[in-house]
Amino acid sequence: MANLLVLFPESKLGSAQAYQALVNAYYAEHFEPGSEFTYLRLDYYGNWVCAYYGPPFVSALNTVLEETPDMVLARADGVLAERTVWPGDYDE
Amino acid sequence: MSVGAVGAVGRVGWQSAGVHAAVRWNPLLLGSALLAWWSADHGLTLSGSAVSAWADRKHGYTLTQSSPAARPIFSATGFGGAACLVHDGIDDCVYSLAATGWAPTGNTGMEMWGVGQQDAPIVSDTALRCFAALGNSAFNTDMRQRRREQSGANRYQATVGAGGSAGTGSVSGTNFSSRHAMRLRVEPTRFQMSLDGSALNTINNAKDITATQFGIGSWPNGTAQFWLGRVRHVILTDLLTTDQAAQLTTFLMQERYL
Repeated sequence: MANLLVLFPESKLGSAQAYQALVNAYYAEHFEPGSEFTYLRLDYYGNWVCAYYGPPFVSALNTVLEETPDMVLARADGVLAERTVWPGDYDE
Repeated sequence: MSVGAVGAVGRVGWQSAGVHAAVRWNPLLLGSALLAWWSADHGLTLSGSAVSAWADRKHGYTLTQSSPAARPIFSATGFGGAACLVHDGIDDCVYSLAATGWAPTGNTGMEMWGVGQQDAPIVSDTALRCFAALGNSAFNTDMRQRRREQSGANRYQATVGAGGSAGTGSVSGTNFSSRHAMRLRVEPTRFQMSLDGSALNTINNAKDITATQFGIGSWPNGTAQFWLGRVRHVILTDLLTTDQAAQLTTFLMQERYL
């Protein structure tokens, strides 16, 4: 599903984990119990990357997502991006 | 929500039990040569409009995506009026890490077919993008059907692991943008590829695949080379006879809905 990404510097793993935990918990509580909204993994450049909890993504109930104030604070160390490069995307 | 036969009326999958009923040829008629068939007309589990699981029509082999943010979107009419999965090229894919037994391992021959739409722009996008991939997500021991930018053009490329190395080949001269029918035929000592029924391009290469994972829209393990575009069918078969291949080609060419 088309969505924005949040890129955290490699040194900000704690911030990335906090953001991921907040969005996963919120999405599971409000839309899909037991689901894990986003992975957290390193991109080709060494950033920690997870999905942004906001537009244009829509939920399973076709609701446009909106960050809570806690999520906004947790995302302070990250930047929004339309895409990134994953390890392996250009290899071989 | 489980979707049993989305958009199937009047097209695929309407074989009747009636003796004289018209039956359109479809891959199920390959019989034992058909290993698996993921069709956008069948077997989808949706969460809203997003695809969380996709079951094949032959054995029910199921590919999943547990992360809502990485699920392809189902479109009932997005493929020239037919159903398809829409992949965003960022992280969307469905895959299984438990695909052992779905397809031959080692050097046993097999084929991978599909119909999809490739939307990565050539000017600004040079990423490798897998349509489907079987193996263990290691270049030397899996096989991939994918898009590759080559000399400023979109090309259909296949890679086939040979154990300690891998062979690669492309179909040159055909722009791999938009909708295409893809074929990758892998024999023990060579592989062949074709686009839209073109003559087979042969690459000598000893197959040695560890077939434990399978992915649509990414590497077999769902971690890289994400497809940007649409997926309508993905089919795994044993090595087909000339007649079987001709039937499947005809079917898939129609399924391009051009």
